[in-house]
Amino acid sequence: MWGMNRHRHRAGVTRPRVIQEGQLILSDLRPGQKGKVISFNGNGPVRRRLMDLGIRSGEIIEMVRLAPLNDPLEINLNGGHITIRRSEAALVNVEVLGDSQA
Amino acid sequence: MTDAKKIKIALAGNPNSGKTSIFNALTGAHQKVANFPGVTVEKRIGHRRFNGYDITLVDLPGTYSLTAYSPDEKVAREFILEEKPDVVINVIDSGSLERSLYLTTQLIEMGVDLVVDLNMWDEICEAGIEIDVDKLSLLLGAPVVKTIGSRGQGVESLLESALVLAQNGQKIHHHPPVSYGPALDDLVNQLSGCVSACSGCSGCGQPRWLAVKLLEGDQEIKNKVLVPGNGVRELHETLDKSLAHLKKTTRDDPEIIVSEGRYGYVAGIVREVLKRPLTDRMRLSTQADNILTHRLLGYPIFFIIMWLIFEATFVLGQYPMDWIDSGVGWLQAAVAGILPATIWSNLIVDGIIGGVGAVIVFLPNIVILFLGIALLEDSGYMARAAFLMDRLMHFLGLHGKSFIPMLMGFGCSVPGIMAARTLESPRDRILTILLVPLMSCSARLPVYLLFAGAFFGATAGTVIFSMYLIGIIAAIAMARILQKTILPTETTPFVMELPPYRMPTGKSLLIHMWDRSKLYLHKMGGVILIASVVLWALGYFPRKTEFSIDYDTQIAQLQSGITESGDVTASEIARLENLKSAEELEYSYIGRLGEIIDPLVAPLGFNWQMGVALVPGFIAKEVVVSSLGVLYQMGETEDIGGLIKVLRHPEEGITPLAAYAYMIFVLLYTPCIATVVVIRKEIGWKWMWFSTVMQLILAWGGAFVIYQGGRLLGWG
Repeated sequence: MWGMNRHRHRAGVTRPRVIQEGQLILSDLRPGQKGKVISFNGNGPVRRRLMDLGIRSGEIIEMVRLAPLNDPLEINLNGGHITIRRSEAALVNVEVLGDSQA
Repeated sequence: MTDAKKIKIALAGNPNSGKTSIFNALTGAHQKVANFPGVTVEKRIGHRRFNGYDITLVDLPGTYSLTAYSPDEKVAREFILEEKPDVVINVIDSGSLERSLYLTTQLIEMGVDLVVDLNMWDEICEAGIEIDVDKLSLLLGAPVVKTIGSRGQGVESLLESALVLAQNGQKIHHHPPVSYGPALDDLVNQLSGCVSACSGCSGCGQPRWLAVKLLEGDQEIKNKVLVPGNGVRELHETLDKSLAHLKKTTRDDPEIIVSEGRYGYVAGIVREVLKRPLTDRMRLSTQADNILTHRLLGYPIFFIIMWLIFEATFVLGQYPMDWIDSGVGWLQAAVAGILPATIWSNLIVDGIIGGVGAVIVFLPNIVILFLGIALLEDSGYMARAAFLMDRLMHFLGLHGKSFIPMLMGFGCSVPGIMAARTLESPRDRILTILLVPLMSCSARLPVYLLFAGAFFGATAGTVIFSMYLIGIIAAIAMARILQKTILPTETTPFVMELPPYRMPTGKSLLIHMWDRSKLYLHKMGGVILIASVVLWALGYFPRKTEFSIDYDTQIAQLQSGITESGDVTASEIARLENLKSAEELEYSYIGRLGEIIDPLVAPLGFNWQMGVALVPGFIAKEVVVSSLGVLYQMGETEDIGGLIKVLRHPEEGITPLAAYAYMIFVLLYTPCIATVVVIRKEIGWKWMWFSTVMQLILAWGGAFVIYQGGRLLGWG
């Protein structure tokens, strides 16, 4: 957890909403970490676009990398890579699936 | 159907599905680009003769879905509903079957005759992915064709399948209904029954599709379907009941539930037809990205690539531009030599030939820049550029992709504004286009060189650099103001695919380049030409017949007279001719306009010559320099040394502060006529006027603050 806190600090992102034990918002996954989509915070056009691109409950997402300025993010969804802004990724709640290389 | 030999086929598919390469392979160069009515979404139309059929192909914008939320999706959907193409070819990136079939199921529901095109088949073969094509065809109820668009493989069988469908319709293929799971299916079936029974709905589309859209709460469909008529009451009631039921049983939006249901259905199909990938097809691209979007290396590499494109566009492009320039100059001299000197010869030489020259002189820039952009787009790097730049551009309320048009603005606003076509959201395009002219283009440099050279000596370089910086600061300020006022930050999502890197094909690059050049010459060339002729006329009329001195007689006397002191005579003739053209320019409409604005620019520290020279600067900013040359009776000289001396002369009363204010004004004021025309073509009259007026105010205000502020501080 220490490592993640440091990272969040650097990225200038507000404290994560820990929804439940073992759950995070997608933007808080570290590169290499995988998470399973559990639920969404809010609706609207961004949510719809996320759905259009296949980000929906039950899908497994791997954080690939952060852009040099820590925003946006690159994620791997079913072998396809998607770039998503930090604010958009904050709409997605995920359950962390083990650590990197899982 | 069989004797009517005309057939209309639409191409639908996700962004990055290779739709355009299929379209190019199908139509070759027989295509044109237009806009869909009322929106700035591009519509490509092509023609093809095949097996005795005259086929019209329309490339719909790339979309993931067919809702009424984004202009692209709306356009694609309306085209299918209103224009009723005989066949829709759904181009699919075989490597992302699930995401692609999400759109396919919507097309099926809309009841179109569908050919499914599994494109980029080679990529999945290389990645070891296997797709059971026959089974997919059975499950979708549509013919499925494998293609490799970049090599044109399989496009013939695509057309054959489309023709078979066009002849027989759905008789040979039956689309099984899309299933959303038992609970939702019941609601959809009930609603669909009501829709069929409702008189207002006939002709709106497939009942089942309409039912789904009603459940989703699609406002456009509601407006269309829920009109007074038989059975509309029942429909209303059933809809309300269904929505209440959904609300009770789930906590999500009906729209999300429908979407989840659709994805469930698609996932089922994919499970049946797809043998799991053995390797990650993004493996090589991910390795490339480990360098190309690396935390430290990403930006340097990006800027090197941008620098290369910029240099190619404007440095390499300078050679053909010079050839065009000298070619036009040669032609003007030749024609002027043949024709007797009348108004008409002047119109042809300066107005028309000069105007045509003004149009085609941009062509090398546009060709090279769009070759570069096509390379970026087709290779997949454009998405990475957006990935890298988004954080910075987002600060301006813009998309990562806006960086490229802005950068190109430093070379020339015209190609920069055209480059904004790579942006999908109309709002982002408008904002980007409004900001591009604030990037100091290369035509403004001669003005800076003149004034910085005349007044700032050793610090000239710093002064010129400050112009570029002030342009950027003005753009940032404008962006912040505009996004707080008339162009509020939209909730349009950034989220997009990073496609695998691909080798661009020569054919697609050529078509892309050809498209842009044609677009420029067709749509903008004519207007720029007319505007140039009008500006020429304003500088030519009214003709002055009475001069302060009878120049013609004096010149004639000198010419016929004594030749022993040849040098003196020649320079005396030149001096008289320069005096004459200065008087003519002063007398013309442009000169008079300049005099009218004189009191307006006086508070900025400009003398009347500087004020007048701003008006022809509207033709192109560098014309400010040659106009000053004429007004100071130097002729349209290339050598600015003489002009520098005159400007610096204490009698002129130009202070360094006023010179700096003048440079600020030239930096910020309404760009050239070509830019204005392009803005109008790209985003319409309203924004053209907005941009023009905004920049005039900005220029005046900026120069005023600098000059008067500087004086208060005792600098001038």
